[in-house]
Amino acid sequence: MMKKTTIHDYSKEHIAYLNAIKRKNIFISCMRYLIIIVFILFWELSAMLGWSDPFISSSPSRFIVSIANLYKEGALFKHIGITLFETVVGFVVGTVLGTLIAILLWWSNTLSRILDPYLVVLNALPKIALGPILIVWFGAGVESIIVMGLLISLIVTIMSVLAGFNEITDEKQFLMKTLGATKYQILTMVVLPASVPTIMNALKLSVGMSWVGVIVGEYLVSKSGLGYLIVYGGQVFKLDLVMASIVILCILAALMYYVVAYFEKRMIKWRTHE
Amino acid sequence: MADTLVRMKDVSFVYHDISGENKAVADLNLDVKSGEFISIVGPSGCGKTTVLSMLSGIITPTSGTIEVNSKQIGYMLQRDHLLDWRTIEDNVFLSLQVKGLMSDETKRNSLELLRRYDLYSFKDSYPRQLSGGMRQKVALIRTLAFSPSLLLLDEPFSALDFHTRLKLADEIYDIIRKEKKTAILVTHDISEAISMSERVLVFSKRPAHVKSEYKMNFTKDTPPFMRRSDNGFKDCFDMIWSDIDDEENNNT
Ligand SMILES: Nc1ncnc2c1ncn2[C@@H]1O[C@H](COP(=O)(O)OP(=O)(O)O)[C@@H](O)[C@H]1O
Ligand SMILES: [Mg+2]
Repeated sequence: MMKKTTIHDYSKEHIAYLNAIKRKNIFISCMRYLIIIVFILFWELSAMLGWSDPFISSSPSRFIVSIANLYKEGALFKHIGITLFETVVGFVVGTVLGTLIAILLWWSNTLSRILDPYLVVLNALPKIALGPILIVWFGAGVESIIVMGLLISLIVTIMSVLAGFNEITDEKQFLMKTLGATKYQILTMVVLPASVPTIMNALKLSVGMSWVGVIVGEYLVSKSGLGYLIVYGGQVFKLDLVMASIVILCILAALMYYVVAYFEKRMIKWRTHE
Repeated sequence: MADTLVRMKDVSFVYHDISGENKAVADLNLDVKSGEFISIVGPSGCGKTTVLSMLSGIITPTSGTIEVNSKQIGYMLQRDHLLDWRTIEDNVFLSLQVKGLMSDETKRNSLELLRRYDLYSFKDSYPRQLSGGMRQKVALIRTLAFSPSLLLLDEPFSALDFHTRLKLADEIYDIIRKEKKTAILVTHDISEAISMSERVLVFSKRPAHVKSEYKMNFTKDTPPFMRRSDNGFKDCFDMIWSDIDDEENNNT
């Protein structure tokens, strides 16, 4: 019996080719780390050597101290927790609601046509402009921040999920009709499963959008959260605090993106049972 | 009358859209006997798909009558449209699920069809792992799963490469004959029409009606590929060709 190809079966040329690819990948990873390390070192050095004024541009060691102080005061996780909570709620509700609305619009072509101009305007409108209205309606608190995060991700979700639904060819639906399928069967057996990748992509888009909504919301109203820390730090000229919050924000946003991306991979695997 | 499976009488169909009315079928008369294999050829856009859609009941004729003495009608399209997140087996079951016909018996029958036509070992594979020809065969079995007595085939080979197309024509002909189905094949390939069917109907330009009809006299068990080297084949081809050519060039 022949075994499946093992590394020994490859020709010299192929092994060289594989090695070249490996080296390239290692090089790319190294460069990624190098950029961040050089950036941080340069930042720190320029503060130390007086090339820049750390009062204005902060420095890595100073914002780390600032993070440590927040931690000691017990405020670090409170702020992170609040912002994270607002973002996750805004994101999840925005996505679920957005997908449901997209289904509704797919179902009724008439409704979709009626609402089309409104969607276009809502999409073009900077949702931030609605901030003052939200504050009046939902109060100057967590609620309006969540609604802001939700609103921004909602419209993106509706637009991209609906576009995904409409991409499914008429011919596939025609096939279902030749089998006598109802609209509900077409939705659940073809349109939804076929749109899993699109919906997942929409999630990746809207997770970023939710962060925008929540941080802007916090700028406007809040007494806590990372957005609040950034605004407060700016007002009292504590640039270390601002930098510290931004760094934490970067890490959180990236983590959340990777969670969604991981979820996407799992969903697509589950869908095709690979 | 007893063995007439399909009868279309003075059937017309008009599409409406903003730019105007579009008469796709006009006074079409057509009979198909039970167990017959007929082909329809005609200029593109003449209304062939429209005729099949009316037969399947998706659209109703604007005027005229259609009788189809078959409870279930199978429809096969140019593309297989297998759902790539379902296994081959689950793709075959799709038609049963849609029609609410899933039972141990119908499932067993479908698996038996897969076995009989050499696809059983792929039942747990996904469509992307199969070649174009095999996928189209799966699409046929999905259509046969609910035991239709009438099959409508709308250019089922035209998305395939030439080699696959000839081989698959033989296989599908064989399946349809063994399963004792009545078949209406729409194609733009005259050779395919001649080689697979007992009768070839030539449709006129839009609005479609039957312009002429050719009876083939091959024995039923000659595979389509062999028929292509029959003596009468070329003459038949030439006649149908000039018929369609007339139709395309006649701009009245
Ligand atoms: N849904 C539709 N709405 C309006 N016109 C259509 C529609 N489907 C087909 N037609 C028109 O009807 C004519 C016949 O179409 P079809 O039956 O698909 O032709 P064939 O299958 O012979 O190529 C064409 O002119 C086509 O443009
Ligand atoms: Mg057609």
